[in-house]
Amino acid sequence: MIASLRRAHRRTSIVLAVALPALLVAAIASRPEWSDPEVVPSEPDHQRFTAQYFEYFELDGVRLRRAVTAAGDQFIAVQCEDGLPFPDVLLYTTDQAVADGAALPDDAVLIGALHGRETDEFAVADDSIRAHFVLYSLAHHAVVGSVTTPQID
Amino acid sequence: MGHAYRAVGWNSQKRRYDKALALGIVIYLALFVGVGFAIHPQATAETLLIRALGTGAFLLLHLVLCIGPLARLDRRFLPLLYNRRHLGVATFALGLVHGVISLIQFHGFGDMNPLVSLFLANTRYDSIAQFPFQPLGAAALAILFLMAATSHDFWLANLTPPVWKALHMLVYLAYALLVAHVAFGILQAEQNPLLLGLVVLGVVMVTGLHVVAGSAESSADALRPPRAEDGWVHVGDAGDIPEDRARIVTLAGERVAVFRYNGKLSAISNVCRHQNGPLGEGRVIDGCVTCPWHGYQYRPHDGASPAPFDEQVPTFRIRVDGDAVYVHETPLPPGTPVEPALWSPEGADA
Repeated sequence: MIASLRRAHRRTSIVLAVALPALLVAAIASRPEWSDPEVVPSEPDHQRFTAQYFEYFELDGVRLRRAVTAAGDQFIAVQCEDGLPFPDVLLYTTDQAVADGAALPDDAVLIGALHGRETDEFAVADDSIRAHFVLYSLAHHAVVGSVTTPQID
Repeated sequence: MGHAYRAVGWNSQKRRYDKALALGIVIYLALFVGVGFAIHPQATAETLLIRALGTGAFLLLHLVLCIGPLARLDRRFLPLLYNRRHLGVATFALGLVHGVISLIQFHGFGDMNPLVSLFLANTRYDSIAQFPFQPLGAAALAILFLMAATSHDFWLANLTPPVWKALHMLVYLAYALLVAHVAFGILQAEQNPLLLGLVVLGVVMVTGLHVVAGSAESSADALRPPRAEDGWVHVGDAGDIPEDRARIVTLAGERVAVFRYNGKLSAISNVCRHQNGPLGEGRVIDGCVTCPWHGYQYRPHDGASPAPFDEQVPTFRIRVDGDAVYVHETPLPPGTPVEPALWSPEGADA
């Protein structure tokens, strides 16, 4: 190998040895916070929400939470104890009850995408919430879970 | 050698190497998908295949990048270097299939051209956690394509080794892009510390080996014999050079290989014309200096490959005074015949 290439190799190695660990540290440090399902309160968190209502999907450890703040803002959160049981899951709300494995109804409104063990939380307007929530796997192209919307009395 | 164009100069070693490579890839993919289904029964085959191909390509790239410094540090790794380009092409092939399936899976069902969607679906370039990692993988794949497409000796000969080598230095940029692709992609969602540990281990291995090997090379270059007024440099004693082997010395900024063979001493450039391999780490076989990397051969007295091949390397004038070997630091044009210096252990003892 010629001398100039040896020097270029050495300089490149040193740059990579510094830059790549820094990149990894930055990426890991910026990872989203993951909530521990064990410590998620089952009762309303009155510091933040005036009311919280839960329903469980017919999926192991997947729970939907409808929460209302003192200001009246509503949040829909989905918590998974053991990660999402299906890949590429989207959360929809719809007026129709949908069986697992069915296609998505035409009136379904997308709330957002789920990311795994994180508690995914979505701010929603009250009038956008329909009678049911549906989990739809983009990978399977099928509904994988549905639940009746938790009602606020 | 470069006598004429051939698609691949197959031989039994290359066939064994490629069979082992293909078998290893198939076993890895099958194991990954099989174990993946056992652990995550709900996972789709596409998802597992995407991950198997992606991790396979990433692992192979680590292997490709580690072979060079390992071979510099320990000659026992030289056989891996022999067919390294096939590993590189396999890395590209796995990455390409990973990219195509991902493109279909994640961008193929919308109302936008999938290739446009790849670059426009996420434009959060101001966020670390949500940085668009897919374009990073696409950029790395483009570099790997460029390298795979020019990996053949046809391109090496036409681009010339220095240009070809400089072009293939882009592999380090591709590696950095892929580490970023992984760090901003799967590591943002995957909480299993095993994956993070493996990525960190890989980065430490690749960068660590390169820094260590680079430092060793730099130290070797720094050891220059004292320069004489008349251009003749004492490069050591003939008795210290093993028969059919060489001593490598740095003269006027480049390395020179001083070979001892058959009672003679000759000095030629240490840089092989093929891929800049270290000729001085090779041996004299059948009367020719043989590059340890890919077996290119040169006659020691004139630096020219035996017919019908036409590669030539620079030669250096050489003389012996007792046991002391002197080489003139000015290189002669490639292929210039130089009278070998005569030397025998008995003569030196006398």
